[in-house]
Amino acid sequence: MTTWIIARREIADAVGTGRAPLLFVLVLVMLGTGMLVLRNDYHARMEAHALIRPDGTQPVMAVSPSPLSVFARGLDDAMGRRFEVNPGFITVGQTQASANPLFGAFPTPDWLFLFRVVLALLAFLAGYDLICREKAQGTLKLLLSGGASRASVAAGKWLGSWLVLVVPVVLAALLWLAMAGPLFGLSFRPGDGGAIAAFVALGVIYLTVCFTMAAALSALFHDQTTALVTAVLVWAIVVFVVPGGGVLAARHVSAARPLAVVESELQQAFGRGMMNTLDLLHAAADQPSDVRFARLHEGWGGVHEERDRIMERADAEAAQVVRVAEAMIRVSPAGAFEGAATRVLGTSIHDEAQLRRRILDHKNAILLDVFRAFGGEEGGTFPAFQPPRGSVADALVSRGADLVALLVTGFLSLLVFFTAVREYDVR
Amino acid sequence: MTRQTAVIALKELRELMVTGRFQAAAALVFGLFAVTLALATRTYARALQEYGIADAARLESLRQDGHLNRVTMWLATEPPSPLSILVSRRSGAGGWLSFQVDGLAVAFPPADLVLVMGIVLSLVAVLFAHDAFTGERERGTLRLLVSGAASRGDVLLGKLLGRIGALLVPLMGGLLVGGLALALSRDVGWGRTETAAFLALAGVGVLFVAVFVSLGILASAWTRTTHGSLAASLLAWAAFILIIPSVAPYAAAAFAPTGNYALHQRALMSVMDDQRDALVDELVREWQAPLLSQHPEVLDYYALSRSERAARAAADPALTEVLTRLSAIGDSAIAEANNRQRVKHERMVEEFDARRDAQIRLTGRFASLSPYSALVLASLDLTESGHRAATRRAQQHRQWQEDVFRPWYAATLDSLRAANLPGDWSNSRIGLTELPRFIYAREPVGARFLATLPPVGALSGFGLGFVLLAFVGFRRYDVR
Repeated sequence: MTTWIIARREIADAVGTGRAPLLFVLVLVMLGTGMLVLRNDYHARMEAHALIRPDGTQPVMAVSPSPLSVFARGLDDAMGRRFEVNPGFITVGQTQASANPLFGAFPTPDWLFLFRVVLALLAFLAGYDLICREKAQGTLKLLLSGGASRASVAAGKWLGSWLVLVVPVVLAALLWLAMAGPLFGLSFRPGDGGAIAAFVALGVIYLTVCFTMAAALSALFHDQTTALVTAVLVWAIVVFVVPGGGVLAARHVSAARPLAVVESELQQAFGRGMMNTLDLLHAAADQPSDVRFARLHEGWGGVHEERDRIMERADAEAAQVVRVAEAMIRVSPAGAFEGAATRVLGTSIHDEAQLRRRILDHKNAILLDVFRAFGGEEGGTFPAFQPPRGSVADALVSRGADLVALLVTGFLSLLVFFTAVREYDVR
Repeated sequence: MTRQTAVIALKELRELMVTGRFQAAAALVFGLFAVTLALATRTYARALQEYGIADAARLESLRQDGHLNRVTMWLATEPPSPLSILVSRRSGAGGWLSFQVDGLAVAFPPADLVLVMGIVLSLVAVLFAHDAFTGERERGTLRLLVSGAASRGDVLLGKLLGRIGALLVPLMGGLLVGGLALALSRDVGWGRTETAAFLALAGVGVLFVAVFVSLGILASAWTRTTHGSLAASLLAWAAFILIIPSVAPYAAAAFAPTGNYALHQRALMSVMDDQRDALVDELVREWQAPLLSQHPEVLDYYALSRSERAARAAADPALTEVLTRLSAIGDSAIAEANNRQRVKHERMVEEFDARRDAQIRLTGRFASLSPYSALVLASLDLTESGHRAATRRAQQHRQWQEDVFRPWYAATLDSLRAANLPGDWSNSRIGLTELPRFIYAREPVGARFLATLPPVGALSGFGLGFVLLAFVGFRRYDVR
């Protein structure tokens, strides 16, 4: 009961001083801008997709851009490329809707970025003075002398300020989600609703962890300025330093070759295979057409096998770097949140890798037909490519480590907060 | 600078540097510079080693299985640049034929000097400058400060210089240690050009830090409490670092659209493919028509089977001569169609590139509303990892193809024809041992620095503007 009274006091204070309405407006503007900008990007990529998608008579795979990329663009652009199966290789066409290279120079202002970076900063700012402000104002002594236990006071203040942070964020998100169709022309697929709900829930958990970390700092420091400076530096470490440094360190400790080297190996395999295939065809020049076709199959089939092996090795190396990087990045709630959120929305590194594996499988399933078409045989149609699509539950299970990391960080921060409040010297 | 300014600057420097908060933040910045540069150096050294092995394998492969048809693809390779140690690649997309994608670079851009300077150091600058006046006012010492011999201008300048000086300690310390490690590393071919680019980048970094110290002081000069000044400067920092740069390319795309890129690519392919073939048919028909009307027997010849044609041509030398003339007309029609379509192709490329460049320029203008964008654009130009270097590289490559590759290709093809090799010359294994290699000639650092003048000018403008506004605010500041 005492907890709720203190929480209500916090909420009333935030509403009365205009903090809560200001936060709501700020979040509303940011999320709306993010949705508008990314919706334009999505529609431009859809236009490009309409031009490159296969008509069934070509051995082409092209996955439609995901409407969920509006929330986390991630690797959706790379996943929307056009893959055309040729006798000796797969031609990859880029589909990006823009040729402006400066898109790559700055981060994408999608909801993932806004939650991970900007709203996280607001969460730190919402929690840094939870306890030390009361001390500076001299009201902490009064509060603690009123008969309420320190745990109740801590819980009430945490709950009230948490609601002041989370309710505007959820309300703004729900408002824009409701407007996504009528205002932005976004139409979602069956199952997307669950993914969006999981994303927003992950966002709320992440903001809660950030807020609790800041609250713990507010209970550890007696001076508001020190608490604020520390909170902002911790935010920078959590959001930028650990993820950026984790990738750099992972690349350093893992032995993945640069993409240019892999590309060169693929070209060599192609050059070698092409020469071998021509040799085989020259040797079978006077043979019947079925023998010539068998030679063609043998030659080009060998090229595909060798190139597949190179790509699989490169993928295994890249997967190792990603594993190491994720293990390091997961230490930071921002890294854990991004890992889980992009997986839930289907635009993560793992989704892109899974798609490429499926493309190689599909390519090998239709390769014989491609050879036949190349040999001049009348081809009919090629089977449609089915991109992999997992459920939200599967995605959450696969990112269990990220969820655990988020929850553990949150729990430890809460523990520090309550312990520090219990031990706090109010004088 | 007056003596009073110097005294205040030294006081600020000393006061700030003895605080635990500042020491912790400075250690963080210093450590980040040193660790980032050390890790990036090792990663670069390994990438260079891998490139050397791959290049040797590539040349060996060309000796074994070289053929003319795809040789251009094999020659367009370049070793990693040592300047990638300073600024990492900002995109994970591979080339046009690249199946693999560096997803990690897209999801989590690796730490580099731009991240450490642009985000962490600017934040530290704001955090340690925001209370320049508000802190002194709350402690009651501002009244004493302005009642002395120092004018308000001296106080402002002293505070500005003192705080910039304090922040230069971790910045210059980190860069010095990292720079020395780079210069002494045996794995990195760190030459004068790289050192000059590094020093220029450090100079831009100093200017950038000064801008954010000025921002903190500006917020302090217009607010009454440390909380107010911190909130204002953090809000401005977030807008400058997080919001404006991210939105700038999308806003530019909305105001200066380039048209659909995929449609453009498809149209370009069509011009040199089906449209070219249709034009060839049209020209051949038109140009051969007079000769065919004089020699209607050719049409009868075309109706024959392959073996009958050979027998007929052998028996009729006059017909053979007409066929040779028709063939020559056909070749001329193909050449003409290729020329016309190439001109069309080039015009379309130019038109699209002009629209793209207009969008890039507008992105730059929108982005120049943020000092962070100025830092990013300047660092991309200085380390030749941005659009400017890509354009320069493409121009050089085109020129190299014109001057070196095409003559070499034609000469090699002639020698193959002379050798009378059986089968398809372009796809014959010929053991390419002496290959022309394209080597990108890096832009002199002086020219690169000139290219960074607009962003450096924008940074200077921000700094001066902030200081001026801070002065206006502090002149009428109520010190009570």
